[in-house]
Amino acid sequence: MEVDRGSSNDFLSNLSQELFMIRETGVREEGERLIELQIGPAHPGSGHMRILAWVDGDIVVRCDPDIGFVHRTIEKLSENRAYIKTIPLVERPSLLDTTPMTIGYVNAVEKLMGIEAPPRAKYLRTILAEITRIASHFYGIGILAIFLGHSTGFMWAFGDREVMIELATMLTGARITYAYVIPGGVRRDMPQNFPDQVEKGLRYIERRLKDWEKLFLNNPVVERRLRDIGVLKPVMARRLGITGPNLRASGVDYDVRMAEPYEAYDEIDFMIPVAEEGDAYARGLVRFKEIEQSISIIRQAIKKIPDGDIISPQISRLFNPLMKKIYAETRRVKFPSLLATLKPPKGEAMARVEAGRGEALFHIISDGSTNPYRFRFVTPSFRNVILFKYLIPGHRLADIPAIYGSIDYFPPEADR
Amino acid sequence: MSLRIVEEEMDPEIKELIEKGFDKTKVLKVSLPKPGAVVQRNVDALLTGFKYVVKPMRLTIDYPYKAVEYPEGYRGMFRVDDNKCVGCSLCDVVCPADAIRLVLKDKKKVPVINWGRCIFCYFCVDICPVEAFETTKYHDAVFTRFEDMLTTLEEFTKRPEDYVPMRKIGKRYKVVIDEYRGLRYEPVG
Amino acid sequence: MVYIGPLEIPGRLIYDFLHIFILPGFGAILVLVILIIWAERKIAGLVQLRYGPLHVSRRIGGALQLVADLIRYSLQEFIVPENVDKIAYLMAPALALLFAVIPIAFMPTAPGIAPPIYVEPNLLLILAVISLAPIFVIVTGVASDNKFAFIGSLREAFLMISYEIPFIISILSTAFIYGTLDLYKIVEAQSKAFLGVLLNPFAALVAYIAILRITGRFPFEISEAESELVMGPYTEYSGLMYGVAMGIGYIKLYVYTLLFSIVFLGGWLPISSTGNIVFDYILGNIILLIKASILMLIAVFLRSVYPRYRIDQAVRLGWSLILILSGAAVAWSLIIRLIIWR
Ligand code: SF4
Ligand code: SF4
Repeated sequence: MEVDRGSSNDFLSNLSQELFMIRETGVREEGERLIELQIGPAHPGSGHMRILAWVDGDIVVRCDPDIGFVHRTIEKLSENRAYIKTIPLVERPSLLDTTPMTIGYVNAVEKLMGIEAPPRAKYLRTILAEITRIASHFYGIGILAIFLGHSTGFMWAFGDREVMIELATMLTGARITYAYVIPGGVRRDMPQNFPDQVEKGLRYIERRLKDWEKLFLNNPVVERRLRDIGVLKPVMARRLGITGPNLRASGVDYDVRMAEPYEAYDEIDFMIPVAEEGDAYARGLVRFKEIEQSISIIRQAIKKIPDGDIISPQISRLFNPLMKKIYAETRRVKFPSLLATLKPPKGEAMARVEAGRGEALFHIISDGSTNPYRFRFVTPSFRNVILFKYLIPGHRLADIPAIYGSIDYFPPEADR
Repeated sequence: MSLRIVEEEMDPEIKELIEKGFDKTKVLKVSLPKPGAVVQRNVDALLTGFKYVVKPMRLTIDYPYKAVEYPEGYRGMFRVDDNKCVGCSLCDVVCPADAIRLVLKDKKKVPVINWGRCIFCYFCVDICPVEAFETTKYHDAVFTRFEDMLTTLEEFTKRPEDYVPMRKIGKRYKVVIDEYRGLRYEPVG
Repeated sequence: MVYIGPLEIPGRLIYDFLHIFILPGFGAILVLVILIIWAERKIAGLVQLRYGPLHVSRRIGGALQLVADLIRYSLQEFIVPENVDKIAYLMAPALALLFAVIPIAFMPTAPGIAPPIYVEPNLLLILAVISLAPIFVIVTGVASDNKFAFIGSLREAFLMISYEIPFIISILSTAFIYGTLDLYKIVEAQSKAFLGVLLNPFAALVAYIAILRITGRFPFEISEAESELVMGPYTEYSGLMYGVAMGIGYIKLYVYTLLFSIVFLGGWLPISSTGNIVFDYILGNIILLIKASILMLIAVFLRSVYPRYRIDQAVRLGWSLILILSGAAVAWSLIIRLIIWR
C-alpha cells in the first residue's frame, strides 16, 4: 500500500473549489437552469436522510447529504449508564450488523478490565459476526437492487437474509438484536444441532449465489446501470477516509480483520476481496465475494472451534452455586452481580472491528466509576457519507439511487 | 487540522505496516467479468426468473393462519415467580431499558415489567441470582392500549398467555433450514 | 367474406354497444386489468420467494386484491394541492385515459364484424389517436407544480418521442407487406399466408419493445421511477385519481397488445367467419383476448427480472438499436413485398 505523502489538504480544498466552480458556472452563465431537489426525508429513495441535489438538466452538479434525522445520542446516553447496559445500545444503530458492533465495544471494555474471552467464546463470536456480515451484505444488496427498481433482488436479498437470521436465532435466542457478547465471553453455547444447520444454510446460500449471478449481477440492465458509475479512485478513497467494502472495491487492500486481528480471525484462513475499478458495480461485486469469504470463515470456525469454557474464569468464579449448576447443565451464562456494576480501572481503551459496512472504532475513557467517562463510537457509515458529496456530482439524477445503494450507506448507523 | 502525514512522527509499527501492506496472498483480486454476449445474458436472466415461476420456492409463511414456533431458548415474554424472588433488585439495576420497576409485596421488593419498554435482552433473567424468572417463547402480543403494557405484580406472576391479549393464530410451524429451499416449515407435534 | 358494415344488419347497434361496453371494450378492460395486475403481483410473488396478494378473497388466490385497492383509493381523501393548475390537473388523467381507450372503437376484433367506427385506413387512425395519450401525461406533470412531477413528465416527453417513432415505423412496415391500412384486411392477408410475426420478426420485436416503453413496463419504467421521482408525473395525485393514474399504464398495455396481436399475431385467427354472428363475435374476441393476455403476461413478468434503465440509456437505445431495427423492418418488408410476396 503506497501512501501519497502530503498535499492532502490542498487536494481537498482544490476539489471543493472545483465543485464550487461547477455550481457557480451553472448559475451564472446559464441563467436559471438549476433545479434544487430535496430528496427526502420523506421520499421513497432517501432513507432517513435528506439529499440536497442541484440538477442542471439531468446532471447533478452539486449534492449535499443532510444527515442527523435519526440521531440517538448513543455516546451521551452511554455516559449515564453502567458499562453492560451499553451493549444493547451499540447494536441498535446498525441494523443486521449488530454483532461486530458489540464485539468492538466489549473488546474495548475487556481491554480496560484486563480480561480476555476464552477461545471457544472467541470462535462463537466470530461465527456470529460472520453470520451477521452475510445478512448485512444481503441487506445492502437488497437496497441497491430496489433503488435500481429491481424488486426481485430486493426480495431475494431479504429472503436469503432470513436464513441467516434464523441461524442466529438458534444460537442467541433473538432475531436481530442479540446482545450475545458480554465482557469475558458470550452468553450461550451453541446448541447441539447448530453446526449441522449452519452447514445447510451455507450450502443454500452458495446455491443461491449462482442464481444471484444470473439474475442480478450479469443482468445486462443492472450492469449498465452500475458500470462506470460513481468511480472512486484509490487515492481519493484513502484521502476521504472511506472504509469497508467501498474502500476495497477501489483497490485498497485494507481490512481490520487482517490488519489488527481480533477474536479468532488470526487463526482462520481467509482472503479479502479487492477490486480495481472502484465503480458501483465493483462495490456490489465485492460484497458478493465477501459473502463467499464469510461462508468459508464460518465453515472453518465451526470445524476448528475448541472445547472449553465460554466465559472467562474471572467472571465464572463469581458464580453462586445455582449459577454454576445452570452453566454446567445448559451452558447458559448467568451474570454474577458484579457485571451489573462493572468498575474498570482508570484508563483508556480502543478497539476496532470490521463491521459489515466497514471499520468501526470504539474508544472508552474510564474514570474508575461504573459509567464510562467518555465513549466515542465511530461507525463506518459515518465515514462513508462524504461519498455523496464527491461521487454524485457529474452523474445523472437517476444515478443518485444507484450510487446511494452501492455505497451501502445506512443513515441510522451514521447518525448514531 | 491537517491531513498531512509526517513520516518522522509515525509509529514505526504502523509505518512498517503501511510500507509492507498485507500479505498479498491474502488478497483476492476480484476482476469484473467481461461483458459477455448481451443476448445470452438476457436469456439467462429471463430463464432464471422463469425457473422460479414454474418451481416456486417460498421462504415466507402464511401468517397469521400459520405461525412460526421459535427454537428452544428463544427470548420471548417471561414471568416472575414471586416466591422464589429474594428482592435483590439486581434485575432493576441491570435492565438497559428501564423496563423493570420494583413493587413492595409483604415487605419484599418484587419486579414488575413494562412491556412497552422491554427490549427482550434477557439481562434481567440472566442476572437473577435465584432464577426467579420463568421464560417462555411467547411473543405475538397485541396490546391495544398503552396502559395494558404496564403490568401489575398479579399479572407479571402469571404466564403471558394468560393475560396478554393475543391475535388468533393458526397452527404453529417449526422452522427448518433446508439446503435446497432455504427455510421449510414443519408442523409442530 | 361476411362483412357487416354500418347499418347492414338489424343488430348493428347491439353489436356496437357490445363492442364498446362488453367485449373488447370497458367490461373486458376492467376484468383484464384486474386480472393482469393480480397476475403481475402473483408472478412477482412467485419469483420473489413469497405468496403475493392472498388475504383478500383467499379462496381464489387473492384475485380481488385490486378491487379492494380501488375501494380504498376511492374512499381516500382526494387532495388537490394549492398551487396546481386545477383544470389541467383534473382533466389530464381523464383525457389520457380517454385517449387510451378510444382506439378500441376502431379495432375489428371478430371475423365478419366491422368495428363500431369503420373507416378504411383505421390503422392510421388508431396510431394517430394512440400517440395523443402521452401528451396528457406531460400535462399532468407540468400542471402539478412539483419538481419531481415536472422531471417525470420531461422524461416521458423524451421517451415518447424516441419510442413512438420506431413503433409507428414498425407497425407501418408490416402494412407495406399486406398492402393495406385496414386492420381487417391485414388479418385476412395473414390468414392467407403467415402470421405477421413470422413475416417480419424485426418489426414485431421493435413493436413489442416499444410497447413496453410506451406503457411504462420494466425495464423502461423510467418516468415513474419510484426511488428517484416518487411517482413521476402523478406524484401529486391522491385518492381515486391516483388509482386512475396507476391504471392508465395497464389500460394502454391492453390496447397496445390488442393492436399488436391483430397486426402480428393474426387477430382472431385461426377461426374465420362461420356465418353465425353470435358465435363469431364471442369466439373471435376471446381468441384475440387470449393472445393479448399472453403478451401482457410476458410484459408484466419482466418486472421481476429487470431493473429500470437510466433515462439516457433508454433514449440512446431508442434512437440507435431500436431505430436501426425498425429501419431493418422496413427494408425487410420491402424485400418481401417486392420479391417474395407478389
Ligand atoms: S429483558 Fe432486558 S429490557 Fe426486558 S426487562 Fe429484562 S433486562 Fe429489561
Ligand atoms: S433479580 Fe431475581 S431475585 Fe432479584 S429482585 Fe429481580 S427477580 Fe427478584
